[in-house]
Amino acid sequence: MALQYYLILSALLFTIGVIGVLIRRNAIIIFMCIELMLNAANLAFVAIGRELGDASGQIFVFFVMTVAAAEVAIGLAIIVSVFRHRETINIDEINTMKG
Amino acid sequence: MAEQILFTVFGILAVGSAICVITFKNPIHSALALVLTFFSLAGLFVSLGAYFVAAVQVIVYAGAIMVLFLFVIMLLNLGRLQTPRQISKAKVFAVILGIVLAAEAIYIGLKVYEGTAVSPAQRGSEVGAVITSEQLNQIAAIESAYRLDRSEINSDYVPQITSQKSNVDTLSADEADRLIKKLQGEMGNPDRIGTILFTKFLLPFEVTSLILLAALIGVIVLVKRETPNSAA
Repeated sequence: MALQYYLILSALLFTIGVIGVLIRRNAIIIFMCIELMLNAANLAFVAIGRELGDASGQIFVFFVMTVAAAEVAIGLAIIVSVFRHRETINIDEINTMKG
Repeated sequence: MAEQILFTVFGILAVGSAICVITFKNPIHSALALVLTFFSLAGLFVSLGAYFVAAVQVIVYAGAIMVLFLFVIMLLNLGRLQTPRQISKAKVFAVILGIVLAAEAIYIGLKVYEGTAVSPAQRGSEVGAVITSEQLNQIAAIESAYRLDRSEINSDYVPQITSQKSNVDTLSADEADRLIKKLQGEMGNPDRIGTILFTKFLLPFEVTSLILLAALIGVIVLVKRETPNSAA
């Protein structure tokens, strides 16, 4: 299977993630879409790494996963504390910092 | 052939479940669709020969991270917070923007492919009786990337390609091609991944632990409830 198909698939998954971030108003779903985008990037890393015969692509996926795990922990903590104060996680209602 | 089947099945499953993630109304259904996406991505990693990454994908993403998501959704009882769906101007604009982005990303992907792919005609003219210098360079690149030794390749991998020979330099171009394929197939091997991770990428690996520590402290600070008598 050629590299181009994996890159197209990766591009599609990334775009679905971007559209999700733009159209959804629920902060948790937006978070999930960010995870989707990170995974699309991981797929591109592994596919290109195989094409070039270099395992660094796979190593980078581990670092992306670690950062994603840290990001999820922090992000969900922020969502939980926002929910405690506001009783909502709809991002249209959390707009105090709006310029 | 097996790779094509894996790619088609898991590719369609990944895109389909990703669309479900952004269209389902209930956050719990979205989270479960995302688990399916992660599983199909693990399948795609298997089709790419990255077996260890596939296993970690299932354990870390589909296991730990998604459990955290579901836990928070259920903790906050978000199922009742569904907003009625209306198609606003912003959503239409977002989808158009997404299509443009997809077109650009696919275009760039195809450009990258053109840059790395060796055309069959070019490859065909090089297949000869003796291993070519380009193939030797490729093997040398794999050696440095995987921390392999030429003697290791000679004793462990060359006999797997052909039983008569035990030296890379005596291989024919065709056999060398198979040897390179074989070596690249070893890429997802936990043995190789671990070797690279703890030699070439040791410093980034240690820095990663700092990120995790920072996340740990950050979460405790963020979620800690200030009780009236804690100030005293």
